[in-house]
This record gives sequence, structure tokens and C-alpha cells, in this order.
Amino acid sequence: MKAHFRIHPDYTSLIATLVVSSLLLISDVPNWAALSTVLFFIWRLLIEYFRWPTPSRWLTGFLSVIFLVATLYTFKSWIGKEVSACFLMILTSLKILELQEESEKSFLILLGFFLVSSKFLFSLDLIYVAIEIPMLLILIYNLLPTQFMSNNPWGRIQYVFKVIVLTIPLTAFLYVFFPRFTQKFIEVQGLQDKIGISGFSDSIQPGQVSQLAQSNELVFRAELMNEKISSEDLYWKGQILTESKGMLWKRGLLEISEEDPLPFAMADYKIILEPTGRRWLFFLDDTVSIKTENFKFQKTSGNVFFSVDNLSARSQYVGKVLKNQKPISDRDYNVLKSKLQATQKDPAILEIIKGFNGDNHDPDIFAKNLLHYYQSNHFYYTLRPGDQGDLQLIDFLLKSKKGFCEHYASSAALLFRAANIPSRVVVGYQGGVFNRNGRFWSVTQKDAHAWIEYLNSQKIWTRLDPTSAIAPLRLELGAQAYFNLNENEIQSLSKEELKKRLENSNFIEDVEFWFENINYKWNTWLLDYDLEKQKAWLEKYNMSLTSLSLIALVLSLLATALFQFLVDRKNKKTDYEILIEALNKALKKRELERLPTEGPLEWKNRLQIQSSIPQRSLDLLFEFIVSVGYKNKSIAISAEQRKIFFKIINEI
Amino acid sequence: MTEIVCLMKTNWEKVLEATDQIIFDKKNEIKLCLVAILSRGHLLIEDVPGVGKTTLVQTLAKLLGMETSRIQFTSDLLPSDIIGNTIYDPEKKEFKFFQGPLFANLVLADELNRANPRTQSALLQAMEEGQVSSDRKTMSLPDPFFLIATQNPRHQTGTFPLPESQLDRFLLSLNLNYASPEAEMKIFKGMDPRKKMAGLFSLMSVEEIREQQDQVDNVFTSDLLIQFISKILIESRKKSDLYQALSTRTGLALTRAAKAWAFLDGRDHCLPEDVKSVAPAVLAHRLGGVDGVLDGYKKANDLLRNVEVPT
Repeated sequence: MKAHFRIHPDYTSLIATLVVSSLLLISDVPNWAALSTVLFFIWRLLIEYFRWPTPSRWLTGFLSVIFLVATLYTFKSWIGKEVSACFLMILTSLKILELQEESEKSFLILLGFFLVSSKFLFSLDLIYVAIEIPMLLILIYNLLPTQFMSNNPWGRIQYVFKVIVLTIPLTAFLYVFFPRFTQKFIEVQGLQDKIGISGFSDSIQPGQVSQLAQSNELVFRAELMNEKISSEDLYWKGQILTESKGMLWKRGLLEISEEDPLPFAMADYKIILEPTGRRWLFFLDDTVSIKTENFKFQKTSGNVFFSVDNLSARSQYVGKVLKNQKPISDRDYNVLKSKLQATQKDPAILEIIKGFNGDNHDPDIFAKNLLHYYQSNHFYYTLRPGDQGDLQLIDFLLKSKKGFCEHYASSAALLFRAANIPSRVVVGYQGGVFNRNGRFWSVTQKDAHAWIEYLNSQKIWTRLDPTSAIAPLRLELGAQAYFNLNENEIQSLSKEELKKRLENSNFIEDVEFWFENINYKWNTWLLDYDLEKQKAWLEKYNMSLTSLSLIALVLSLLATALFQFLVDRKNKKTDYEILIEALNKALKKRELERLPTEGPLEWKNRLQIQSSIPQRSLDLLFEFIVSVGYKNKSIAISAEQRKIFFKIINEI
Repeated sequence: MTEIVCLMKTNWEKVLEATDQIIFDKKNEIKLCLVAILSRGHLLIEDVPGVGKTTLVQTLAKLLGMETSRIQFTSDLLPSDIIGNTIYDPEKKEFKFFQGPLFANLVLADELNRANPRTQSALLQAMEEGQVSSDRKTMSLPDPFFLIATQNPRHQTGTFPLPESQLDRFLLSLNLNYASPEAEMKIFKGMDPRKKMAGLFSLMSVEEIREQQDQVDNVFTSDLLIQFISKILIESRKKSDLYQALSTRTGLALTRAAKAWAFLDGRDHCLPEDVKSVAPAVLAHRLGGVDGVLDGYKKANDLLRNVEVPT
């Protein structure tokens, strides 16, 4: 049993920082790690409260080995920020649990620095920067020795600020010149699937998008650089689903395009994608090429873009839109046609098609008629269509008649195919919230949407959004605003009235926009300055990264040497100081040291009265002190005199 | 150098002792007067009448072989009354300048703060430059030129307080104060000081004084000492709510006075103790301002108590 140790008040701020920074990481580590960390914290709290003994080091040591093994087993890797964050969290909680002695403080501070920077690496979010700066200050504050300005806490705080301010130039220098390492380097695949990331999966079935649309989670932010792109064009494609099994649509086999993406100079839009843990990218219709440095991507034959690896960090890319697409090749067209012929066709469905389309074969007219069919047959748009996992097309069209966008997209695509027109379902996002302050769009899961594409008479894939026929307001007002309205409002108010209501912005909304904007700018700023930018910037001054690194290395070595030299010089004691210190030391026992406001003669006079040092010795001592401190240095001080001085001091 | 200083010390010591024979119990003040003379500064004495100001001045003048004059300031005194007048000489048929009482080695300006500001400021140029201007002509005052001004304590009626700019031109200020009871009894018992004075003869010539003023300039001030002086100034500026912030000119005055003090002590180098000895007198009128020299002395001592001697 170890003796009980209560946490010293000096530790309060440090422990609080460690606990908060650990708790911030909870969402980024596996559940078992989060849970054990919290348990260890509670254990420590109980120790404090009930004065239990602290657990022995053997136990905590054993536990840390167990958890290390568990971490390695979970991640199957020992590199990567998730792995390190997980183990760091456990280690910190165990260390706090067994905390006993003053000497452990520096180790705790070290852990704190790692924890704080891990969270920053995970999120890069401005809000975390704001939380972490005070934590960093506390850690540096704790780094100061206890004796340092012990009676002047304000002085200590000022010192900490000084330290921070002094690091700014070096940090800025490193930010600009230190070679950016690519995302790959810090990204190691972990348990992205586990970590609470929502989004589309590789298939879609009725009810899935509506579920997704309940969430307010940010998916990406987008900035439009091309003024020709209007808000109605904002269909952010994610996946193209080609294989259907009833109302369930799946991604078919995608052919990876061999050709390199078209190079382009002027991008039409920029997307900053939140970490999704998946390979999806979102891009506007008719996007022919994208560009990025954050990840490697592939393009499939249908102009669909994928990241090669799962994206677990915020990433940025720009896209190029080119209207006037070429029709698909005859070979592809034949493949599609033959696929359609192979599928079985339900006579009841064909009957319905005949009902609204007659014997028409033109795809565009079919599209128009289909929209009209939805409009005139009392279909109903709802976010909560109920559990309809195995809904059949015929049941949907004739019985339930209510659904979310995926129902309409799915059914529309099926009807197209039944009419022998190639079609496919597209899932992604539509619209978003426009940030007036920053002039960018924030797209959340609320904006999740599904629509279709069909091959028109020119054999070009054409977008058709069945939702526009059933709930045009959803598209016009945007998901965020539309879902905030209740059914009565949608029924009773006219379109103009609704729009007017939305235009009246309130204060909270303004603040939200403002904060969103700052956060966005910060992210862009961090992500924008990538290796390519850095290289371009350096090339402007005819420098390569290697030569710059070398220069930086040499410069930093020189700076360190210079700094050391200055410190040494500043701390170097003058001859006079050495003499005074020596005499002070000799007189310390008798408490006859020099008073701070005393000159040499005053000191000498005091010693004459209060000490028993012989007059002759005093004369010699002070003669020497005065000549070192106050006499003209051109009169050299002999080594002999120095010897005598220290001899007398020794005698004292 | 050391030998010369030792030799000279005796001369100054003699002056000091002789003065002490006439004005009892004021050795420190007399020494400060000598400091002012040696460092080419001027002296301000603030006191009530009848404590021996005039006697002190006359004694010093006599001992140092200086030509002396005395101006009694009144509210109707004009600048030309102290500088001099240009008067037409009918015999030679030309204008001739007749020197005023300012043309002397040692001038006693009695009750300076009774004069109007215009006349006070006429003294300014004389004190700063050692020369005066009249009718577009500039005339040098004798060298050495040493001014001792006395002023009545504030609150006395009929006074014009000296502005700060003028106060700053005085190197030192003194407060003679009443003599101690023992000293006073000695005065009462003894001979009339004026008669005693008649028996004095000069111990030094003006040339010697000039030469020794140059020697004071050569007294060595180490970096440590300069640091100490700078610390005093900084302390006053840091606590500007308590003290009048001290000017660079003050620092210069402090250095000069400390050098002279060290010289009088027979040293060729300056010590912090020298600075401490002269500092109250150098700082008093600057820190005291309108509150007077006595108040300034308290403040100066207060300030010095908080300044550490650097190592």
C-alpha cells in the first residue's frame, strides 16, 4: 500500500489541461480507449475524494503494456495519428492515476504537448485552435520552475506570453519554408469505418437518404469561381448508381479511365471536403477534371472522380466544368441497350408507362411526361416515409405514393429503363447554405439528395430531378430552410411569402455565418499552402527545396550559435561581480553581506564597525574592489593583487 | 595625477576649514558650495533670512580670491540693472557700455524670486552661457563665473516662483537651515563674523581655480558608476506619480557634481558614495519644483533609498 498522496494545488491547472485535452480526443479514438480513459480519471477522482491509496506502479505499468498491445491489435499499425492519440490518451490517464511525486511534472507536461497537438492534427479546426491556445499557455506556465518568480504570478504569466511571442518568428519561418509533407505521411489507414462518420454507402435503398438528411453534419464547403454557375446548377454529384435490384440501387462496375485528367489553369469551383473516411468526392455536373495535392484520385469513364484512398483528413480540390459534353460512344451505347433488353419488364409497369406516355419514344418527351405523371397523381414528398426497406416499384407508384428524393429518383430511373431508355441514379447533395459573408456554400447532410440521369436523343447523359415536380420548394428554398417549415406553412403560404420570410436574417444566423466564414478562411489558408504552392513560391526566387532546406539548416545553426553566444555574454560575470560575490559568500555566515543600495565605502565602513576583520585586510580588500569597479581600467590590475584578495577572503 | 590631487586637496581643505571657522556646523553645505564652483555650476539657496547666506558667500569669495558683487532683487528691478547700460559719453562723443553687477566672478543674487520673471530670465543666459547680450552685443562674463542665488521659501508674499526651466539651470540647491543650538551659542559668544572675515586672505587664485576645474573634468567615472546614475534617473521616471521625471541634463549635473565631490575627497575616480553625497543637493530643486527645496530634499532621499548600487 502506498502512502496517500493528494494532488498538490500547483498541479491543478496542468491536470485540468490534460483531462480536457484527452476528452477532446474521445471522438477520434476507439470506444474502449475512450471508456478506459474516462474510467481512470474517475478512479483518480475517487482517490482524491475518499483518500484511497494510489495504485502501485507495477499495476499501472502492466496496464499500459496491455493497452499498448490492444492499440496495436486494433490498428494493425504503429504509425499514424489515431494510433498515437489512442495510446497517448491511455498513457496520460494512467500517469495521472499513479501521480505521486513532484518530479513527474515534466513528463506530464510532455504528454500534454503531444495531446494538444494531436487534436489539432485531427481537426485543423479554428475552434480547437481557440481552445488549445490557453491549454498551451498553461503547459508552458507549468514548465517554468516553481522557484522562478515564485511570489509574482503575474510576472510568470507575462514571461509565458513573452516565450510565445518569441516563438512566432520561428514558427512563421517553419510554416513558410519547412517542406510540406503530403497528407499520406501523417495519414495511415485506421478505423475510419468505425469512427462516427456518416454519408452515403455504395448502394442506396428507399429511406436511406431521408435518414441521412436528418443530420446537420457539414460535408464540405464550396466556393464558386465561375460566375456562370448559378445556384440552380448546384447538383453535387457523389456516386453514380447503375445496377438496380428492385428499388435498391447499387454502384456498378466502374471502368477506370486511362487518360490523364485534363490540365487546366482556371478552376470553376473549389471544394474543401470534411474527412469522410470514404473515397467519394463531390463535383458539379459536367466536371471534366479536378486538381488536388491532398490525395491521389482516379477518374472513371462516366466522369466520376474517386480518391484512391479513404479520406480521413480535410482535403481540398478544385474542379473544371465544361458544358457541351460529347455523346457517348456507340460501343457504350450498345452495351447499355443490351443490358436493358436483358431485364424483365413487369406488364403492370408497362401499362402505367403507356398511360402517361402513349407510344412516344423520344427520351426528352418521356422525361417531361414522367414529371407530369408525378405531379398529377398526388405523390407526396416527405422526410419520414416510414420503414420501406423492401418497397416494390409497383407498390410505390400505385399504393404508398409518398417518399423522399431517393424514392422518386429510384422509381424514375426504373421507369426510364422500363421504357427502354438508359438511365442511372445519382446520389450526392443539392444546393447548400450560402454564406453571405464569405461567399461560399456550406453543404451539410441535410442537403443530401438523389436524382437521375438518362441518355437523351443525342446520346448525352442528361440530368432530371423528379423532386422538382413533387416538391419544387425543396430545391428553390434549399434543404435547410425547407425542412424548418411545417406542413401547414408549406400548404398555406405562397412562394413569395416563404422567400420573404427566409430573407429576414436574424442576429444568431449572422453570427453563425460570420464564424463559419472565419473557420472556412482558416482551413483554406492552412490547406492552400501546399507543397506545390511552396515550390512555386520558391521557384520565383530561384531556389529549390533542397537548397532552401540546406540554407535553413545552416541559418538555424548560426542563429542557435549566435543566441548561445549572446546568452553567454549576458550571463558572463564581470570581474567586479566575482569579487563582490566572493566577499559576500565569505561574510554570509555573519550576515554582513552587501546591502543592495550600499556602495563599496559604505560597506567597508559598516564592516569596520560590525566585523572583526583587521583594518589592514579591509583596506586591501576594498582598495582592490574599488580599483576593479571604479578606477580607470588603463591602470592594470596585477595578478598579485588578485591573489592577495582571495587570500584575505579565505582567511575571513 | 594622484600626487597632484593630494597636493591640491590641502588647499581646498584649508578653504573648507577657514569657512568652517566663520560659519559653524555647516561643513557639508560649504563643501557643496565648493562642488558647485569646481564643476562650473550655480547654486540655489532657499532659506529664511538671517541664517548666514551672505556671510557664506562673502567668506568664500574672499578665500578664493574672487571678485564679488551682490544684487538685491526687488520686484521693480530691470534686466539692465543687472547686466549694465549703454550710456552716451559726451567727452568722447560715443556710446559706452557700463557693466552691471553681473560682471564679477562670484555673484550673489539675493531673494531672486522677488524679481519679476523678465529680470529672472535675464539671468538665464548668463548662467547657461557665461555671457550676456545687450544692444545686440554679446559680452563674456568673467571666468570663472559663479552665481549663488537665494530665494525665500514659497508662500511668502511678493514672490514670483522660479519656472522649472530656470530651476534646472542651477547645479545644486541648499537649505542652510538654522544652526544647531551649540553652534548658535558659539556664534553668540564669538566675534562678529564680519570682523573675522576682514582678517581672511585669499588661499587661491582665479587661475588656480580654473586649472582645477579642468582637473575635475578628468576624474574617472567607470561604467558601473554611470549605470548607477542612470538607475537613479530611471527610478524617477518609473515612479512618475511620486517624482518629477528627471531629465538627461540632471544626469549630467549629477555626474559633474559627483566628480567634484570625489576630487575634493582627493580621489581621481568617482564612487557611488560621491553620487549619493551630492544627489540630494542636485535633485532637491528639481524634484521639489513649486513645493520648494526642503520638500525636494525629502523626495530625493526617498528616491535614493530605492536605487540599488549595481555590481
